[in-house]
Amino acid sequence: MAGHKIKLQSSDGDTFDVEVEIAKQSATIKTMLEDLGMDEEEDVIPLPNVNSAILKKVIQWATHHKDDPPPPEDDENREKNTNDISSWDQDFLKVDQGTLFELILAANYLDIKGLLDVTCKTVANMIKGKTPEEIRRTFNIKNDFTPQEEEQIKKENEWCEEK
Amino acid sequence: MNTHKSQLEDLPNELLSEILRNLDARDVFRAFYQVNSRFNELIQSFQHLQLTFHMNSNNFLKTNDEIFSFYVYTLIISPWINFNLQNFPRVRRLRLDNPLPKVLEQLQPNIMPHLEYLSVFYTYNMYEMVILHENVFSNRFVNLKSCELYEKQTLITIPHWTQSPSLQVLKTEYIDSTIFKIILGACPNLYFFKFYLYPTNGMTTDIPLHNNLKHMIIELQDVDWYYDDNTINAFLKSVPKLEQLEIHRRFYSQHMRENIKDYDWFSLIIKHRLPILRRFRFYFHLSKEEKLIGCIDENIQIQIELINTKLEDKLSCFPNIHRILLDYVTDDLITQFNSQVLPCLEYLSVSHKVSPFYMPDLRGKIFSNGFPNLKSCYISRMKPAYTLREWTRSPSLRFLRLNDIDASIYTSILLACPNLYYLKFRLPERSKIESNIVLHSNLKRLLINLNHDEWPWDDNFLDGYLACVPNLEKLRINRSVSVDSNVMNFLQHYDWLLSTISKRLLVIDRFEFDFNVKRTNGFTENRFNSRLMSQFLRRITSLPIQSIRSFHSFDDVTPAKYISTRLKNGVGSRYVCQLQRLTIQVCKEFRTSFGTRDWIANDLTKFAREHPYVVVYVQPRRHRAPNIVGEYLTGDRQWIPLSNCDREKVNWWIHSLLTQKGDPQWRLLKQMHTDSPSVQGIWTPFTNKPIDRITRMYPDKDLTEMEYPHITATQQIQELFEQEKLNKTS
Repeated sequence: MAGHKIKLQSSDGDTFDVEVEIAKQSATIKTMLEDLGMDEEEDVIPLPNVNSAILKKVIQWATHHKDDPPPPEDDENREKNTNDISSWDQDFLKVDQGTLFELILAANYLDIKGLLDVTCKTVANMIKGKTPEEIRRTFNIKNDFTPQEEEQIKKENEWCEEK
Repeated sequence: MNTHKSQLEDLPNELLSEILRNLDARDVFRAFYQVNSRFNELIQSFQHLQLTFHMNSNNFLKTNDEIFSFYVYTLIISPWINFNLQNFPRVRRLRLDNPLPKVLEQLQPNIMPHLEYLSVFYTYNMYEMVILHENVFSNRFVNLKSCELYEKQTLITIPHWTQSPSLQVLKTEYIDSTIFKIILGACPNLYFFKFYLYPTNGMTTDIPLHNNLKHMIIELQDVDWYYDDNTINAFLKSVPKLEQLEIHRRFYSQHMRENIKDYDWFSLIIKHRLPILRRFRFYFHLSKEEKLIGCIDENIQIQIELINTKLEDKLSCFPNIHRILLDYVTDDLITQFNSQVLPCLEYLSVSHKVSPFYMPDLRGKIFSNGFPNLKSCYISRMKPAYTLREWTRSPSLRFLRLNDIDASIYTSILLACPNLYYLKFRLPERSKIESNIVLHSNLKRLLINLNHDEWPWDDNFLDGYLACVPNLEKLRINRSVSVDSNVMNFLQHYDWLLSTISKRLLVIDRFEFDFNVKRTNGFTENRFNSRLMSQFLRRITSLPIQSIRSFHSFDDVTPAKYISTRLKNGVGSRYVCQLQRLTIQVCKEFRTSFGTRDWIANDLTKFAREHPYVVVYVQPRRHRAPNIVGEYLTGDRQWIPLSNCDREKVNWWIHSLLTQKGDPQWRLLKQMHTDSPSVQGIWTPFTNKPIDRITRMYPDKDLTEMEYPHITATQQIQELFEQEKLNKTS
């Protein structure tokens, strides 16, 4: 039924009207709808792990990708490629780190494979080619090694400096 | 509001792995090796660490690569790279693209003892391949689960293969029956098998049975249809336990359409050979160069036909089908369509593509209990029964969705489906229910779509529809009207089915009216809408509360509720039954008291023994209806009539009185509730007063004394009087 809508409720209590077909990109919601047989419009689906701002973004993403073909089957042996992010997604993911990680968490919780993929690839692109020192600075990661260990590490790590 | 921003470190390890699996091992180790201890641990145990070697990548193995080469799980090697496999002892997945013989030679069980997934693509035959085959199929790689071997020729058969019990998944190209036989013999635990059928002649007849193969994919490229079927028949003979079968056929012949017409899509073979097949898929790949593009419609036709012939196979092969969606039906199918073939059918959907020619027959089956388990049904093209005899009854049907119907269909459906619970239909024209109103007591939900512009005069015919279903609980009407019809003038005086609903539907719980205005031309929308809306809402509020208990429409009103007990009276051993006295008024003779008498005769003593804190009176009243009266600790009184209730019902009501608090039933039309109760708590006399009041000794002299203003009224008047006197004297 086109235009048939359901309500999604974020953690801070806002509800969003979303078309079923769009919401069903999330495997979590899809199984919820199918297993619980919630086809009455008045049912509100609570999503306690996602706040309004993030949910809004997720819905925006899902709306744009609603006509996408299903992703090809996962082939473990395929080569990795992080450069196949569409330009719309690239623009969409020009957000601060916090939002990006929340999007990853939300995509994981809602089980939206496409969104999880593209956000992870974005983070992977941020990681690519950085040294541990840069990584620490970029992602604000604490170093919990002692100076002696540090020295050891530097020696070990000489190999990967580009010459 | 949570102001904490998420950071990379907040992510759980699974998600970090998800991110890292997009990266090559070099990147992972360059970035995260020795960042901190958590990441060290993570990347060293990382299941998806992958390393790819390209022709052009200049970073060949350097001396220090052992740091991470040890941890690599997945290794991908591009064509023609000279490479030393010995540095990667922990590899689980290996993919070799056209490997050099030198590299392939290294692929030995002692070098990669953990290998689980292997895929090798190669175009040339070489002796090393033969060794690899022998290794694979003679259980030298003890952990190997899955193997892909793609080559441009058939696998070379090796006479001295032993067995490889670990292998479960095998994908290869070009196989003929001889190799098929050998592979099945070599892999007793094979579960999934995909191969290309090698176009060759000669069938091996004595293929031993293989009992573990469940899923098989066969690719065919042959032109000769019927010949293939024989071959596949021989293949399927040996795998009786197959559950899923996929066949891909690529076909490039001009005579395709003739072939398709009288092709039986393996239905005979499957019926004979595969008793427990669950899923059969037949993919028919059309090449783009073919001239068929010009007649796309015909193509689609072929596809649909194909789907249904598939279904036909299913009908005969799978008796336990539960859901069927009919898109397009053939004669064959419709004759098969009966409860002997489909005893378990629960859901049936018939789309409008199904030719109307078959419909009377099909509907007759549906509405005459032709499928005893059918629960839910969708029929897009509905016609009434031609004769009254045609439909009997179908008591199993509970959900029914229909498209356009009229009054006669409506009544015949209500007659045919006594247990219907949900009904949805569309009324394309005004057809009034004339006479002989049937009463249907089980229908609880009704959804009506109306979209004609004549309005609001159709209320009186809706009245007829609603009169048939007195027990309706939810009613929803979707109406669309175009603006330029002069409907808007009537809205002001329209009573929104008020009289009908309050007369016909006494137990209705929810009534929804969706009103869609189609704007054909640029009208003054806003003003119109707001006026319309306010009008609408005013009408709604004028509906009697008894009949409309809650209302859902344009605004979100919370549904009405009763005050419910929080079930705290049973905590610990402090439970005090609120019911103190129970008076049962009963007549010894009248029929209306039969259940109550029954209860007194059978259950009363037991009840009294179990609940010693309740005093029970039985009060005979001659020739009057039975009642029970409960009196409660709080002084409240509940009175319940028990006319014509049977023993069970009486028992239910008595226990209902026993377990409740006894206060009168309030119906809350709005639920007031707060998630954030005030910080200061409930008001007490000491709220906002100085705390020293607690510590004082009462009676307290300071507090009992009245606090007078500086000058009392009496003093003020006296003062004025003095002034007056002074003025006079001066």
